[in-house]
Amino acid sequence: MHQIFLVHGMGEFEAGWSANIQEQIRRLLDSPDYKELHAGGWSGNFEFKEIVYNDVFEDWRKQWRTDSAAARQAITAAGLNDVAASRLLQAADVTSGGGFWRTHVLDVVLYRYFMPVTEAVCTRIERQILAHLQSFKPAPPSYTIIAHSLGSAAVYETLHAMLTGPGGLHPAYRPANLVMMANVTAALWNRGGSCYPSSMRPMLPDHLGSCYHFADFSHQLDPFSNFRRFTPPDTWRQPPARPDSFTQVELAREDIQHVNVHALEHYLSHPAVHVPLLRLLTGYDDIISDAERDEAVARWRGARTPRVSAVAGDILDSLRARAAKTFEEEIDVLLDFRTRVLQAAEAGTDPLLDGESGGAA
Amino acid sequence: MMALQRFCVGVLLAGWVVLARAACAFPDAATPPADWTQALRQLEISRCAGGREDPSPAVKAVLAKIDAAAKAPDYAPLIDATEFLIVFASGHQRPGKPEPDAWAALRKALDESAAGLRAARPAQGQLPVVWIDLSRNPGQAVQVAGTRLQLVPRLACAGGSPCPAFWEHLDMLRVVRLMDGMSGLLTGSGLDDKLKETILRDEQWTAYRADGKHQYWWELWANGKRMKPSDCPTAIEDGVQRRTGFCKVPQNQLVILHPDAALAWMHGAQGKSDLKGAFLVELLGYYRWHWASETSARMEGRRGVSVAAIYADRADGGRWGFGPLVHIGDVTFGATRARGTWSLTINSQLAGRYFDAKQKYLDKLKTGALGAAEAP
Repeated sequence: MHQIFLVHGMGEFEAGWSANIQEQIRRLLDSPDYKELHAGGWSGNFEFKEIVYNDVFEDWRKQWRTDSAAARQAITAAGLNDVAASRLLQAADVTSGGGFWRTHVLDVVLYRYFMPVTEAVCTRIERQILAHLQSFKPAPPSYTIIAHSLGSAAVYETLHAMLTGPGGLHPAYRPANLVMMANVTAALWNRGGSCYPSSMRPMLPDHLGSCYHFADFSHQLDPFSNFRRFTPPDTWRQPPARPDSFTQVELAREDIQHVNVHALEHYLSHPAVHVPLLRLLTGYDDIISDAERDEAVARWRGARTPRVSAVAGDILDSLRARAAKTFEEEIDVLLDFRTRVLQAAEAGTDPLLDGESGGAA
Repeated sequence: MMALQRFCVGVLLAGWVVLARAACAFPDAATPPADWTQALRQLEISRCAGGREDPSPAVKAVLAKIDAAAKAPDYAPLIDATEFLIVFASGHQRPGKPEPDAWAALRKALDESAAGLRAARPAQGQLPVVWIDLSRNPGQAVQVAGTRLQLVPRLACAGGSPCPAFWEHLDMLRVVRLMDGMSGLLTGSGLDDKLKETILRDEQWTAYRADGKHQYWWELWANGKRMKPSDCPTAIEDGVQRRTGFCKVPQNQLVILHPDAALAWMHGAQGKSDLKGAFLVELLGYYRWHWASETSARMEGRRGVSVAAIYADRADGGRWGFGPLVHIGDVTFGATRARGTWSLTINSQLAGRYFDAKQKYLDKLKTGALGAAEAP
């Protein structure tokens, strides 16, 4: 069976986080909207393996919480009333506890700027991928990685490390498809040079690169992936060019069903995203016709709620207008985005979607 | 009762057979499927073609040889299996048979594979990557020995009618999947080694966080910046310097402005307790260790020194003292001086051990369980 690795984005993700996503993909594989796919009963031919790396962040946060609490108790026990000491403990507390900043944005900061965290996260991802592949010994399975948001950057860097390390990674163990949703690789790449090394090209048919097919999905109003977009130069896939090895889709501004356009569910729901994905998963481009896709897109657009689309469009346009150029500006935009998503949920305009946007943060 | 048991077992077996058939639906010539393309694609995606549930005698014969290869000291069973498939492919190249170019290309790739295995020394064998390419891209044209071959194309056969192309492509798929399996066998030990190395590195990173000297975020950032090029190798890729592979887990760290709880034993301290709670800040320090072995994530030889400031509430008022601290394993101790008075400082773990032992002693005294020989 074809294996599908699901990699989460930033936020509080624990084992079992992908149950809804798995269900959504299975429903799409059985969808009556796509005749041939529906008739074939394809969903039984895929197995999911979810990847969890949030525990690396959480373990650090927990340790900082415990250590700073002990130090705070010591201050009280010693009767110390000192501004500098209090500030030091305030600094220690910045990283612990809840809140969107601490459990979401901080993950990104830790991943980007704290080398031991970056390496531990990539190692944790590599371990889960290799252990799963090894369980199929001796015949390695064909597999796809679907990564969302922070997970896209983490998986991309993990694969680069796996490919460029001693002995590399035999083509038998490389993914058939690398699928990025709300790709933030360009913003977080930290391995030197640009984020388009030749080793990561989707050029496996020529025995080069990381995979056979690379797909990149974004939304014009997604405040995460719009900050430093993933835009590989034409030379990335040269020589030789294989037009079918790279798919890039940017959903239009008007394609909004929820305020949280960044949610993985929102991406997967759109036929312009899931049709290329289903074609990649099954391995057959003609399994869904272009006419079927276009009809599905029309239906999806017809299912938009005018009120939600208008509210969401205004919110997201205002965030886009801020055009963050630095990480500091981008973090402000993301915090604002989060506030707006929660406000829309509280007002009953919109449901909360994945763990990245909902939960206890 | 026995009849009921037999009935239940019969139902279960029948169910299993139905399920097994449903999972691997190989059509037979007498009952052609409604959609030949769909049938071929299902046999491909389910990995039934060329797999354990494939009823083909040729597949069973080759799988037996591959199984034998897993225990053999050399490549003889794999060479045998490849030669078997060469004969199998030759059978499809007879005049008048469909898809002659595709079979000729597969035959060339099989010849190349057999020659490669014959020439290779044990543990160095590799099969051409084309088997992986074909196996992973059955729906797309792949270049094989100069011929573009689509392993699982859309078949121009009407449902319910005979479809010779189906059987040809099914056999091609079988050959490819079997060769892909052999390729996996040859590369499998490499995967085992990589996984071992990854597990070790993962455990070492966990030890780095939990078993080393705890770090606050600013220390973690600074220690990340300190990771040496020798720990994080780089190389020129596309004309620019990039990191390659993973970094080694460091075996030392700086301690910077590290606040902690401690206990201070002050000269001339009065009151019930010998020790007082204190607030400690390690201003600057260095801590190192080594792994117990090359394959271990257990830290050994944990040692460190730092300069510390400690605040404790003394009989004559609270004040800051300064002095050196030494770390040995989990234990931290040192001497700090404030206004000419020295204090002994220990970390909470050591204090815990001290108080625990003391409490046990006091409890025994209370209950009269302490013998004269045990008196301190």
